[in-house]
Amino acid sequence: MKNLIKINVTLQRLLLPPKLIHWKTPILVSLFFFMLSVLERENEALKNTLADCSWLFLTIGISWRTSQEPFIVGEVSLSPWVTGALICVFLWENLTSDRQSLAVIFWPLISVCLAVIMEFIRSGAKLQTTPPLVRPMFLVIILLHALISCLLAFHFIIQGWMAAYPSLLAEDFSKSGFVVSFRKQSLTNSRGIAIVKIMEEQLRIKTQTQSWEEVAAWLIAVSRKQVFMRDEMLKKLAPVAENSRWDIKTPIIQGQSLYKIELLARWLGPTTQPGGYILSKYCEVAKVGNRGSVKCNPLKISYFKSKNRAN
Amino acid sequence: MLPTVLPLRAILSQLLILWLSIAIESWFFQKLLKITPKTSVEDAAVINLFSTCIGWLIFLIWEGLLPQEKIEQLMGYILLGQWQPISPLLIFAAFLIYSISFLLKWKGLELLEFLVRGNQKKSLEPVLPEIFNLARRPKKFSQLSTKPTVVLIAHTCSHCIILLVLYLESQ
Repeated sequence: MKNLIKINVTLQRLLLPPKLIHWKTPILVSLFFFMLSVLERENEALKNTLADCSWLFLTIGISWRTSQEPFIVGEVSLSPWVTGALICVFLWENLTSDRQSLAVIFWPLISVCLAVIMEFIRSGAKLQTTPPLVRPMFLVIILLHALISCLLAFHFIIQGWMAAYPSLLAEDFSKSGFVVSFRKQSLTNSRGIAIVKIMEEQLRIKTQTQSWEEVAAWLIAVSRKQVFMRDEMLKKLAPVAENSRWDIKTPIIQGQSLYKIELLARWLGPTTQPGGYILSKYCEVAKVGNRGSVKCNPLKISYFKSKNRAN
Repeated sequence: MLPTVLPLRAILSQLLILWLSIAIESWFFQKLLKITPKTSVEDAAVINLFSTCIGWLIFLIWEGLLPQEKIEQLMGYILLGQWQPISPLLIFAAFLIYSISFLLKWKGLELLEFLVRGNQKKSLEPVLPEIFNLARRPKKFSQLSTKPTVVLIAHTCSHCIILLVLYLESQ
C-alpha cells in the first residue's frame, strides 16, 4: 500500500505541470489524445486525426522543453532541429513510399525556418532597418542548410538510380569522382545471373510438364522467332527500368532428337566494359522416352568485343 | 537495408571547392575593396553559398527533365566515371557555368550589400573614395576597384585554382 502511494506521488511529480503555462501541459494533452485514439476502434479517420493531434502537442511540448536549459549549446538552442525532426517524422508517416525521401530532404530547410522564426520572436518582433535577421552570419547558416538539403536530394537521386538499375552493383565504382561503393565489385551482383537462371527454370519446367513433341514444337517456334522466351521471363522479374537494357537471345541448333540451346543475356546499360558483358548458359535438351531431359553447363561470362571499333 | 553507394566524394569535393573559393575571393575583396577581413569573409561565404545552392537547384531540376537515355549517360559519368569526349557542347556548357556563376555572385553581392548595409553605405560611399583617389592612388588601380571587376577577377582566379585542384585530384 505504501509503495503504491510512493509510486503515485513520484508519477504526479513527474507528469503534472507545476503551473498552467509549462512545457509539461502540451505533453499531457498529447497523452490524452493518444489514449483517445487507442480507445477509438471503429472510425479510422477519427483515429488518425486524434493520433495527429497527439503528435502535434507532443511536438509543441518537446520544442518548448528543448529551448530551455540542458539543450542549449553556446547561444543556440537545439530546439529548431529537434522540432524539425519531429515534423519530418510526421511527414514521413503521411507520405506515400516513393515520396518519403522528401521528408528527409526538407529537414534542414524546416529546421532553419523554425530557427528564423524563433530568433524573430526572441528579438522582440521588431522590424528595424538592419534587422538582426539579415546579419551575414545568419544568411550563411540559412544557405548552408539549403546546401545540405541539396546534397541530401542528390543522395536520394543516386539511391533511386541504384534501385532502378540494380545490375550496376556489378560495375566498378572506383573511377567515379562522386560516389563511394561499400560493396566489392563482382559480376555476381548482376541481375543477369537471375535472368539466365529463370530461363533455365522455364526450360526444365516445360520439359517436365509437357511431352517431347510439344517441347520440340515449342523449341522450333522459338528458333523461328515466333515465340520469345524473353516475354515469359519478364513476367517473373521485378519490373524495374533496367529490364529494357537486357538483350536476351536464345539461338537454337537442331540435331537428331536433340536440341542445343544457348541462353544469352547481354547487358546494354551503363558499364565500364566497352560493349557490355554477356552471361550465357549452354543447354542440351535430349529425348528420353516420351519426355525431354535438360542438361546444362555452368554459367559463362564473356565480354563483347566489337570488331568494328578500333580499340 | 543500408545503402551501399554513398555520394561521399561529392560532399567532400563540394566542401573543398567552397573552402577554396571563399578563401581566395575573400583575399581579393579584402585587398581590392578595402574592407575588413571579417566582412570580406562573410561576403565571400554568402555569395559562394548562394551561387552553389542555385547551381544545385538547376542541376536537380535539369535531371528531373532528362529523357531516360540521357539519364543513362549521366549515370555513366557520375557513377562510373565515364567521360564523353571533349566536344564543343561541353566547352560551351563550361563557359555557360562560368558566366552564370559570375552573374549570380555579382548580383548576390549587390543584394547582400542592399539587405545588410542598405542606407548606411550610400551615405559614406561618395565621400571616402574621393579622398583616397585625390591623394595617392594611381589611376589604373582605381579602375580595378569597382565591384563587378573585383568580383570577376576573384571569380576567375578561384575557378582556375579549383580546375587545377580537380585536375590534380583526377590524376
